Amino acid sequence: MRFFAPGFLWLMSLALIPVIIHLLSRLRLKRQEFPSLLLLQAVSRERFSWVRLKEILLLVIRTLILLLIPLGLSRPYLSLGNSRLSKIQQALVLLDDSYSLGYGQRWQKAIAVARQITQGSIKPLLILASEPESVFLGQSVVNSLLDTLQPSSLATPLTRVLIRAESIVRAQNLPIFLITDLQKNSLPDSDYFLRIPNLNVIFVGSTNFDNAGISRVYRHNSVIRAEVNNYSEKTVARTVRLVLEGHSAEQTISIPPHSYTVVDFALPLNQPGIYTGKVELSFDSLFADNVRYFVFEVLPRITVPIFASTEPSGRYLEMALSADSQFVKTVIMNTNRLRSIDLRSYRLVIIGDVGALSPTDFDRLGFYLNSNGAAIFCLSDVKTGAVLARHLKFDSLVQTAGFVSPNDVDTAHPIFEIFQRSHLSTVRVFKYVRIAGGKPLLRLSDGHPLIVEIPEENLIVWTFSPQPEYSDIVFKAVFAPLLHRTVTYLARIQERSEYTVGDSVVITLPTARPVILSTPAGERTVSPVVDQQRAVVKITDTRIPGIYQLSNGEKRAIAINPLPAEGNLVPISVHWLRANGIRVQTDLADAGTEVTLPLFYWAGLLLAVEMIILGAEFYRKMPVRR
Amino acid sequence: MAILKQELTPAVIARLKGIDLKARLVVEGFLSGLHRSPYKGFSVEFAEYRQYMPGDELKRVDWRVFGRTDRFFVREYEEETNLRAYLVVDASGSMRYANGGYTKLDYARWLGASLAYLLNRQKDSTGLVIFSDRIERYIPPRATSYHLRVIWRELERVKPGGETDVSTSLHELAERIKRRGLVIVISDLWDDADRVINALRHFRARKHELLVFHLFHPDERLLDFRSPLIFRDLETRQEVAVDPRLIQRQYQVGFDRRCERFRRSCAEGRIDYQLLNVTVPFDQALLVYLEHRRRLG
Repeated sequence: MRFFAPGFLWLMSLALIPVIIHLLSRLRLKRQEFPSLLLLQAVSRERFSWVRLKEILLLVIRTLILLLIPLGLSRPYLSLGNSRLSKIQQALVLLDDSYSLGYGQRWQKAIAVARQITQGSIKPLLILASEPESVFLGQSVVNSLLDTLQPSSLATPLTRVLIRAESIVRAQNLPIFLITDLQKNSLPDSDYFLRIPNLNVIFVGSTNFDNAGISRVYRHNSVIRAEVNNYSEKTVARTVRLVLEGHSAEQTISIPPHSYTVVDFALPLNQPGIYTGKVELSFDSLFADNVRYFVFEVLPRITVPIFASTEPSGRYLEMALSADSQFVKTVIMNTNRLRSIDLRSYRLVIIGDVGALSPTDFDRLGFYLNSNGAAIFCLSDVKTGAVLARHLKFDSLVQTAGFVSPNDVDTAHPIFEIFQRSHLSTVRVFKYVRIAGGKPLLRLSDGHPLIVEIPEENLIVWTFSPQPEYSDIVFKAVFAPLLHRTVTYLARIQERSEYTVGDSVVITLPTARPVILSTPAGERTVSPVVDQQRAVVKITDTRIPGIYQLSNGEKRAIAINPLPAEGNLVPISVHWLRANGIRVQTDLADAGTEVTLPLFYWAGLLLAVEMIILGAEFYRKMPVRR
Repeated sequence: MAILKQELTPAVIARLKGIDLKARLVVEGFLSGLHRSPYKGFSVEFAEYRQYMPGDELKRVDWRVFGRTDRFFVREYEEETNLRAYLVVDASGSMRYANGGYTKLDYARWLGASLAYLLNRQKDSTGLVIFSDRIERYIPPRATSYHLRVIWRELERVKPGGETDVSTSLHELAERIKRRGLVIVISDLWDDADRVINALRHFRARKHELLVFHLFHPDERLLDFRSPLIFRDLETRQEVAVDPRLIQRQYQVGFDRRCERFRRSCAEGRIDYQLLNVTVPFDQALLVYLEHRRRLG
């Protein structure tokens, strides 16, 4: 038996405490004179065996509990010690520490195997998949690393660590031992394996697992929606719990195999502000994908100016947004006023007919968009060749022969996620402006874009003006929700609020004053740097999932979550690897098994037995009066 | 006197000096409370006249009445008996138990002294036997007031000690007392129950009347101790470590069963048996005695 954390072994001496107490209590018994022991002895003889047995039983139980807990804390693992792995003289060990290794006993197995290989080596080399740049060299360094190492929250592909390993072994001609769960998602192109010389794969995963994970949390109308994936081949039951600013709610769901279930929590967020919370999954073996943090911003009512040179273009927009008066207040202004007002006081502007803008107006709008502004441009008869904000080039106004309709919609985009193609295919477009650049969100049947996003500028461009002579969309049911979702999308995308573990996050701040950054690891003060005349904070240490919050007068928060795809534990075929000449070891019976968990189970069981005995004794000792 | 009687608990008696005072107070207090009692005449009191019958002793003829009425009448006194009573007091080590101001032996000596006083008032002959594992002291019965003081003095002197061998001592005593009489045993009866019962029956076989006062302290019955203890036998000095809370129920059942066995066996052998808590006043014991005495006639 070996130990991962032998530092706890000294605590086993605590097991002497119950023995000492037992002996002391015997010595400290008071003497009481009694007329005759005749009856007392007869009665206590009847009860003697049980009392004595109980005393001994309690002593043994207490001693065992105090032995088992430190033993469990010292994380023992059983090893036969004569395996092929322990006889390796020199090797490079690559340890996959992605979070999928946290499933079941995989991590314990991986650590046990890594120990066996490195213990036989004179100068062991170890590289972690999450940090391929660092090579851990030497027995003591590797041992202390293995003592404390835990699976990361990263979903690291193995490509980088394999490239690094290849460069090392090419010079030294060492065998490589890759300890991994061979997860399909984390492996590079399978052919890449075949090119690496001396590769030995030690498979610590299995094809049999039952993992579910939360893949997404988002707001949908008045509910918070969580998508829970079941990656396994059987139906699983889980409890999903939402924790939001001190409130919580939970639901129990059943998810069919290889499928996902949507869970809605009706917790309307009425007050403007930033809300942070998490959705948790209970009774699941892989912890990392059981929690998903989120940050939702409920915006205050915003004023959206609509600039229009003609009355109809502005009127249809205003009518469509009036249904949303709780969120949006519209003000119709003549395009001429663009020169006289400060656009920066508005979060979002709508230009009803871009054809009426002068070059100066374009300059002002470009500056506004660079200053975190957002806009919807509705193109009317624009001047051919005009360039907007470096990204968009207007071509020409197209008069269609009859009409064309949209037939290609990007339903993955937040604006269009509620729409289906059939909702939009009935729209008829008579006139539109051809443009080049941007990311098309909706295309016409002739292949030209009808709605385009310029993400760098927070700009959505409609290649038509909302007037009947351009399109009948203003009479269609989709018009109001389309405009509403476009407005809310632009108003909200000021700051991205969700990132993946390991991402570098850049947050723009209004001033360059130092701010307090709260992370799951603790609090610290950070000083923003000025980049392109903007004060930004760059957060790079995002290895721990959770809510990261900046406090500088106003609250700014982001959620860091692991990549959900890592939760899918399906491995690549071991047979395929073997068929292609890769040595794969799957039988780890001799690699050792950590027995921590069974020890704690036993300690718990003994504690329960002690509670039962003490309960029975308490009942017996209840005073009897006659 | 009634107030005095109410206050005469064993704890109060324990504070008085002199066994004679204690006995007198107990008995006088007790008797004063017996209003319209059926026990009148337990003193040397005139009861009634009856006509002379052939065989009556001439000395009992009231000559004054003959002088007035010319007829022979005989005076009768109810208290006149030929009773020979033996107070048998257990002075073994177990009687030393006290969880308060006085021991079980103290209670036994005060009860014995009171009974001796009561017997003496009736002009009954009273003897005293003190025993532990053997008969320690034997004073034959007499009815004089000097003899009463001798008994009191002996009772005051007696000291606890030695192991109890109730049965052997009682067997020995039963053989020793030749003339029939009333035997009053005051003991905690801590011995093998079968042997004790056999010894008591031995007295009955010898035609003695028997009255048994079985003394116990509440601790002996309830075993009401709140922590594990090492119990030491007052007689044998043997020790046993016990958690009383664990065996309390069984012990109480065992004690009651033992007492019930004594009671039933005594009833079968026409022996008067009285279980006496040593913390209660003596009235109960005296009433039992008087009831027994009344039956004897």
